[in-house]
Amino acid sequence: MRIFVKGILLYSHIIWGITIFAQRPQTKFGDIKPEDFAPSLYSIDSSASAVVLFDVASATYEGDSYGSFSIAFKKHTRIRLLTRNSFDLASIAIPLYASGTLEEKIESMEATTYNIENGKVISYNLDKASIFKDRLNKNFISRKFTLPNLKEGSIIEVKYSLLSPYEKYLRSWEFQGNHPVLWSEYKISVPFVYDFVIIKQGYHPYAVDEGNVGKQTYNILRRGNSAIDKNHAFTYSSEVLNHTWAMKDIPALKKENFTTTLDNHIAKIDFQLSKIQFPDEPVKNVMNNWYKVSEDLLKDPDFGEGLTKNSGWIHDELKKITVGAGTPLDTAKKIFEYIRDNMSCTDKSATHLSNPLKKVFQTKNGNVADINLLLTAFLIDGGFEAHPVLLSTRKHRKSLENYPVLDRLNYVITQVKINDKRYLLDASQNKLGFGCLMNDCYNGYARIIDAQMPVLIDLSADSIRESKFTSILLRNDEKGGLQGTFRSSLGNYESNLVREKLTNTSKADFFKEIKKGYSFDIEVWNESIDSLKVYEAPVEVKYDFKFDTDDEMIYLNPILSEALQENPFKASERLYPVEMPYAILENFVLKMDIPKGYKVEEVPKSSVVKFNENEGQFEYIVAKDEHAIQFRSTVRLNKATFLPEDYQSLRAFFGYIVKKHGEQIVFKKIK
Amino acid sequence: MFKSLLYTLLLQLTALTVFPQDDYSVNKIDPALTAGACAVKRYELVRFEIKDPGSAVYYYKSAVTILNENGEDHAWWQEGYDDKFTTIRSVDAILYDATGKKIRSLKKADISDVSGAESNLADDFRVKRHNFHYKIYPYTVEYEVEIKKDQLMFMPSWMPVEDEDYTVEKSIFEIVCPSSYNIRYKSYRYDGEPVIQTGKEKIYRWEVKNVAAVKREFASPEWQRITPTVVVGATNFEIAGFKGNMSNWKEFGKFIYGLKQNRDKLPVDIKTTVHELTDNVTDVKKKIELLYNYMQQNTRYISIQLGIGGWQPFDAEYVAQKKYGDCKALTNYMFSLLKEAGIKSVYSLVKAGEYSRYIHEEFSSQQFNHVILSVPLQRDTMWLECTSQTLPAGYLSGFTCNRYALMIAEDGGYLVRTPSYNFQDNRQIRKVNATVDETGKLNANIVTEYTGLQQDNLFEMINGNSKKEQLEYLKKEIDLPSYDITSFDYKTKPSHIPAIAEKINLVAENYAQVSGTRIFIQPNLLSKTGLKLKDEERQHDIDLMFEYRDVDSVEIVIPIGFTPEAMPQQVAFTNKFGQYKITYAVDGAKVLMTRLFERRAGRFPASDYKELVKMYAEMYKADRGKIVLVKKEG
Repeated sequence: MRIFVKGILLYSHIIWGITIFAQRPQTKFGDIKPEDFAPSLYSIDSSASAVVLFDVASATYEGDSYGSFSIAFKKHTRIRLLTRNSFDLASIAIPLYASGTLEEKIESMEATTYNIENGKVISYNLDKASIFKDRLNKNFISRKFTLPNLKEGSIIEVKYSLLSPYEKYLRSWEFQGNHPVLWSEYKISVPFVYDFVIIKQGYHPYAVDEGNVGKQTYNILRRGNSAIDKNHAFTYSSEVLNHTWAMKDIPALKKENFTTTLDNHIAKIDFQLSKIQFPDEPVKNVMNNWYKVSEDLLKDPDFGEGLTKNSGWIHDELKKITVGAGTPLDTAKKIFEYIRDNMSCTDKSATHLSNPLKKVFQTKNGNVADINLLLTAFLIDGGFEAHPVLLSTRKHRKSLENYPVLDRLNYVITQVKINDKRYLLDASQNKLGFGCLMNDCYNGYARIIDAQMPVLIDLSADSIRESKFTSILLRNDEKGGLQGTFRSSLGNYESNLVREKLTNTSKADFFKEIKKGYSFDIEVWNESIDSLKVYEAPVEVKYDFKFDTDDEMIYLNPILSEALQENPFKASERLYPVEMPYAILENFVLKMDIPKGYKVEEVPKSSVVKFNENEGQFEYIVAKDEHAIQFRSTVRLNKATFLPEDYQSLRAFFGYIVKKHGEQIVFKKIK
Repeated sequence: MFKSLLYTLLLQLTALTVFPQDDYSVNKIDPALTAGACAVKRYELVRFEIKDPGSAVYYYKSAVTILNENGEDHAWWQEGYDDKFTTIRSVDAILYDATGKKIRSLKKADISDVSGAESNLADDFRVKRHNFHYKIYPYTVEYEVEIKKDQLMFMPSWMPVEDEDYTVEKSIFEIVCPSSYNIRYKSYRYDGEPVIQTGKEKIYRWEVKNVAAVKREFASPEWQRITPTVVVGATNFEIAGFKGNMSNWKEFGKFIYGLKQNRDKLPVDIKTTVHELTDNVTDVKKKIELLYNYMQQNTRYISIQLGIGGWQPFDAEYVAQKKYGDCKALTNYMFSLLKEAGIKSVYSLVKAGEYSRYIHEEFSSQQFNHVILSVPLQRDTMWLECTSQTLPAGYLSGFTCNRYALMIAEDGGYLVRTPSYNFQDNRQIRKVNATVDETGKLNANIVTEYTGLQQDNLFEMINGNSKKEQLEYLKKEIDLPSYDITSFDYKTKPSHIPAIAEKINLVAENYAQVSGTRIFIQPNLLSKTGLKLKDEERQHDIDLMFEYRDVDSVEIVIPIGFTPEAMPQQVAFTNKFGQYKITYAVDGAKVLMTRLFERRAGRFPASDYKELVKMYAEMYKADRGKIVLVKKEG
């Protein structure tokens, strides 16, 4: 198992070639033989409901009639449907992008179902009238159809080509999906005009990875606008990069618990345009280094221009907002809180402004970029050193460490320096404190957008720890029962959950839930939840409780309501890394009187186990003397991401915690 | 899928034209309406103006004050529509601050228009949406919308209280129609009759003021029975050139019959197959079963709802050719197969959904979203769900059982009940044989038979997943702290009350807790009630929809040399909700547990709620009883 992003090649006209073995299947449309129906299961996955026999595609640049290039994308897929559960694969939707007069178009389409009937292959073609058009939204339409005459065992085949005038966008290719694939192949043919960075990811080896340089002549037509500006046809010859990637026998990948997004793990290849160079023209760098990108972003009216150029309106507002602020920290907090509490976030995934900052401020809403760029602008106006920070949230794939690929980022936050201390701020979330981020932001590298110092910040899940401290003090009361004081300081993540929960749950109901967490009846009073509105601080839950003890024997689990009752790792195997949202420190302490009139009959054994040397530790310590029992449980995991090799020991580690958290202290009545 | 869902969307909004000055300042609201509420509807006028049997104008204007973030869902607008019979003519909206001062109004460009096709392969559904995205509470949004409807088959209903924690200051509903037109209506939880004005047009007017919040509770009756509601229906109506009348179920049925008749012609090869399959069979039920299985194996469900195709089935020939169709097309196809075999069956409309089974049965109108087939036989009626490739013939599952269906006969519609399944039909009978060793490791052999509605989910799971996926499902589903499944097996037994036999072998390390000389065992491995009801004042009746019986017997062999130190009590009771009994025993080296739980369905008064809470609390505790075993000394 390798790291997530396996490698990046910059294609600066370097030719690359490895072909480990290439047993390319025959892919002639309609070439289906009775023996193709013979297997009732496939060795790659005996329980698969469908097997993709091949999935091959190509993207080839062609001269177009817009005075430029278009990309012809051709895809040909053949699938064996083994059971009904895979029939959904026969309903196909092809999304097409359009903006203004430029639209992606389907050029040709063939789709056929093959069944074996009395030893003969019978084919049923899709009729063109059954291809539907669904206008998804302003920019996308979808072509939808389903194949006829499906049976368990059918083979379906779909081949289409589409022409895209968006020549800077080279479609990515997923070798891996929900079903096993016997052969997946992607071929590109790109004139040297365009230089792409190629980003590969996944864990499956390539069967073919080879390229060569050819020559190609393109016919390009530029349409004129008038009688004088006539149509102009010309040819353009260029060297061309041809490259083919293929994989063989690719297993299906399914989403398990603790996965950021499967998109980080499937075998896939992405393309990012780096340069454009037409003959006799200077090189146009599409992808630059972070210095240049930061500089450009800060000048961009859709990103940073308004941070410094805002004709003073911010200053007037700022004065109103920061009235009465004392220290600089005070001022910054006032700005932050004003923006957080007044701006409604319409889209939690955005890297650019949807409107100019002034409009954002006036309408009191915007996407995450709008809101945090507004925050940055206010802070700068307030005299602070503040910068926007770009990152990718956990559900949106990992960002790339070295390449300034904006598509791989989807979120903007703010960094501010106050008295030499740097804080990361996010005003787009209703209940986030100053200097706090959602766990979702901890997904690897974030980039400070500063033309002088565009540094990386490591926001990895490993770097944050969910720390929870709980203590219970149990004393004998006068009536022969036990009376306790519960106090728990929650981790950031849980604090946020509780805050969310209490927006639509009453405090009374919240404590009713807590009562239910005990395996016996308790009476609860003095309930309080601290720091519900102090978003910077952890939420603290406190209450007093009591219960009766008059049985012959008392069996008491010393961890009371705080036991880990279920192993979070249920699957017996794991094929890709476990990505938990945080590292863990969970501390529980109980101090209790031995119930009056009882003696300790038995206590659970103390125990300390380590996980992977020093990556984690579980301590379960019980000590007793004549009058009292002291108990402590500490669960510590020093990181959040684990390789599949560690999965079994991780599962066993949590299994052991569950076991110990079920053990009991036994008290016996003194006769 | 039927087209009705769009039209059952709640109506919102009001006509302030009626009021000289709109004052939405928040301090004008009666504090009784804001206490505990997240949103207050300030004014609303909903007007449905019938022009003729084939067209109407649907107008609403409404202002809602959003008090806090829980009210966000009421701050935005959406309207589903279809391209063929609906035109949204205008949408206006204004955002006001807490003092009632206008902040801004809607701009056309801010309305999004997206496809409404979700699981359908093709349809005309679209959705328009708008949201001011504002969060300085409180604030008020006002929407005014006019929609042209080119059909009267669907009419809006009026349900001014839209959600929990939602109060209404004032809402008005008006139906306007030509004086010659007869409109039908029925109200629920509305005191009195509408005010009727007659002239050149007839105007019916309902109005509510100061309506308090309604709470959704565990097993509440459906929303339209617990808040003020008025439903309206057409008499004569027209859609896409088809004319009908829905004054009563019989008439409405005639209309549907008109849409579906003469669409049963089968191609020759299919006819031949029908005869090959059934000519030599004498038993009618057997014939039906054979043809149903044939249909299941040779078709699949694909939903295409275009224009009148939302209500009219594709003909049998289409299905024969493509081997797919929606509920209407597949039901009509099955009807055609049976017809060819000389068996009469009836296309029947139903409102499907496990928890949405009620229609206003005494008010004939289009309230259905699904079609199934009924086959009247000499002694009983067989029902067929034609969109399933797996259900046994004659079994309807929780999706369509125990509710009204409208049979569409040649001479019109007949409202009948679909089969209901009682606690003897819906069983879960479980036997556990296990051993526990001194480390606490449990080896268990679990055999369970599920029948009727209790097997529905499992049936779907087994049929929808590969063996490997079934194992994953089991690992997530079984509520034990830490375990591995060593083997499992399912056998389905198709019948009009289907059954599934499940066999599981599992190993759970540390199932029993071992502390020094003691072992703690919870003998009830798998049949623990998870329900803990909130102990609170109840507003509404209790509607328990399903009834069932669970029977468990558990035998766990324990290590030699241990004797019981503490045993859970036996608990047993019988009440109006059913009966429960759990017993625990230790017999030599065996721990024994038996459990019976029968729950009855029915409508119970709110005053019974306390007893229900108590019942589940007692069961919750009793189900989790632990036996403490201690090692004998010496």
